[in-house]
Amino acid sequence: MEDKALLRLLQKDAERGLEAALDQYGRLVKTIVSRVLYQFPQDAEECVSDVFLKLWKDRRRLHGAPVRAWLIVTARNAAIDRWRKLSRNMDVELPDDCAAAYTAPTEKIGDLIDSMQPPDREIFIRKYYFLETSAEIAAAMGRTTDDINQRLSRGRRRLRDQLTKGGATLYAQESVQGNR
Amino acid sequence: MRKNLYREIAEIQTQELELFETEKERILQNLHKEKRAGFRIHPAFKAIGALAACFVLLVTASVYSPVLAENIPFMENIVAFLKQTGLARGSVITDGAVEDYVTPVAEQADANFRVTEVYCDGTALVLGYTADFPDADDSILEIEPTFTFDLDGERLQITEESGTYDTFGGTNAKLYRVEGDTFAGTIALDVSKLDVADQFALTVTPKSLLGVNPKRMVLDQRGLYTAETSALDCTLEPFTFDVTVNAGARSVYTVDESCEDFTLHSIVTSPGFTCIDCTMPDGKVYLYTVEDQDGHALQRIRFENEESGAIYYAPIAEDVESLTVTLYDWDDVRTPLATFTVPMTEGGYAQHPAASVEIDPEEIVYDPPVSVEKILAPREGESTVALGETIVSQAMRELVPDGSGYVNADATAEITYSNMQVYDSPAEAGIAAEDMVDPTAPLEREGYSFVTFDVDIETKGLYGWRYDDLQSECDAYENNDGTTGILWITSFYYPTKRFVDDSDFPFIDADYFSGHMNGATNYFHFATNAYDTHHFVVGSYVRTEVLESGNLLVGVETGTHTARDPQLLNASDADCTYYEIPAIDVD
Repeated sequence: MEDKALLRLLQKDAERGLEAALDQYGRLVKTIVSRVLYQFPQDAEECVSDVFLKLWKDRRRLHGAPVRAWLIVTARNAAIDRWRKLSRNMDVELPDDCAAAYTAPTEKIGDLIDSMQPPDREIFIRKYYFLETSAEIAAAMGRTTDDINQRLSRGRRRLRDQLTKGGATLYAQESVQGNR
Repeated sequence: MRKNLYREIAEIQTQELELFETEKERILQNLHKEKRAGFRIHPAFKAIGALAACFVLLVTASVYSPVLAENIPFMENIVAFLKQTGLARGSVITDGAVEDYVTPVAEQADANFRVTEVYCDGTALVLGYTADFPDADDSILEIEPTFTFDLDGERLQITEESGTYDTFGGTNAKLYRVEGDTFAGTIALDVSKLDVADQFALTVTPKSLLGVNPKRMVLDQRGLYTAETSALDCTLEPFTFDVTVNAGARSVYTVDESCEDFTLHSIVTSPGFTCIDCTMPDGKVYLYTVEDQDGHALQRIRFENEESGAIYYAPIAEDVESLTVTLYDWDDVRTPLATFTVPMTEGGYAQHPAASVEIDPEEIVYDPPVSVEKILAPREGESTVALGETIVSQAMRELVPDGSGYVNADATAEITYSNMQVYDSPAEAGIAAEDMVDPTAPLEREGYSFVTFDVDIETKGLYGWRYDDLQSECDAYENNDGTTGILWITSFYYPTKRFVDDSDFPFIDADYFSGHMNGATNYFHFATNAYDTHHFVVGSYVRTEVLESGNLLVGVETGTHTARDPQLLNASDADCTYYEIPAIDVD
């Protein structure tokens, strides 16, 4: 179902619309959420539910944004938020591959990706929005894991430089230390 | 979010997991429940469950009231005390069993910060500590510490891609105000890398102690709410004491079995952890699960100084007879490669479940306040009319899903609302539960009134959508003349609020439609001909305070799009014209 029809259906008939949205995007949202909350299947399922609930709540506010992308970003943020809540009560840590994505300021990541050329753009989108591991990115893009790691490492250095030049704090480093 | 970036994200495909039918059903049920709940709770507090709510009083009484706290002997066993009161943090503490094995540490004179108890089995090192701060403001309920640790003079540290770290502490090592000016906390560390002797000298050096007021949230530099913190005036002195390793509490079950390139060497158990000692080759990834004889998976636990790749599980309970390690290939987690079942002949450890608490959300002050009232409707370009007036709508003129566009471009429907009635419940309006959109929900809802409107619809060429799966309903419509299609009452009934704040769910549900067909998925739609008349009654639960404050509007989609955003025309966001509902004195 095209976005336009799906959003209309959500607006007209929440039950039918949510079921259609879940049929179309449920696997994708579960995938993104599970990359963060893989240790907590029940929380992951609740998180998937929260994402689709938000889709329904925001059905009149999507303003032409692709639903798939909106769901990816929302699922990523919801999963990380859920992890943050869990981490208050439990000694849990993000998977290493998610940690970098979580600790980086979102706006700066957007700036960084905007300044990138292919294939780095896709690599960073996969890392920071899809929360894929380097191995998964390598497999999806037909590259080696070493190549992906090198490109990510270079990008992170650029991000750090941008943050430092902008007078901002290195959230990532602070957060890592703060969790120790 | 940048639009181009959104579009790039939308185009990238990723390897997706399966969503099983049972999962889908549970999620849909949950969505249905959540949608019905009305979102009266601020999202920040949604995660707090009933159990936590039960303990709110306990936290308030035992921790934040020094008088009542005196009844609980926290000094005897800080780990046990914090677990009982729901203040234990870190999974080694909350899911572990070390409280029965901690030993006291000789008191350190004249120190703000004192280590009072210790447990060490050679891998897990758990410390209980207290701190006195008579001068700390009463609002400081927690202290966030950082430490360094030296074992026989060797600094405990971890090395990661981003560098080497030797300072540990933070959230999971917090101290909580437990009695008067006294705070208590715990930390759990993995010291296995240091290969400690049976007895070793441990030097704990507090590096910082930061006072935290969890009841006051302020914005941090990222613009996110975070608990207010303040530096504490204190002298931080290193403290050294001897630690004796409790080797007797630890059991090692040798396995030494292999499958492909994977070898399970042993399983190690202790009151602090369970560890699977195994090796697998570089470049090949195996997954494994660890379950007891009843199929209960052991929970992962994490030490404060855990390094990448280290995997520990919670200690086994007393009734665990065996553990089974099931091995999978990373690329195929459906078919186990091998299972290794190991009898736990030495038995498990008495476990005392940790309570879970949260501070009563009502007590938390947000500075600046969270709630900022926003105009929800009508938006710029939308208009309002009085009840009884007729609104002309062009909503749903296009045929979907064939995408052929506005096939009946001049088609309209004329919608007229009248006869607003306010009831305590649908029952008072003569509506049975089975006719509501949610037939399982109680008809009466505390704090809500049930509002109905008569709505008259006259289609003038408009006949809406023609889904294949709804064709049978079109065919069954008695006036079927080849122009029959499906319309949704929710296009013409859109109750909403004028104003919302950030803690409020903005939309109001349509809860009753007199023209409904059977079943939730076809509740709101109705068949119509291109030239037809319909009379329906529609109803919604509306918070009585919304009615009394004049905060209710009822929208009718007009089918037009105000040019607010060029992207808008690609979405489904049609404009509405709203019926003004004046403030009503419900009593």
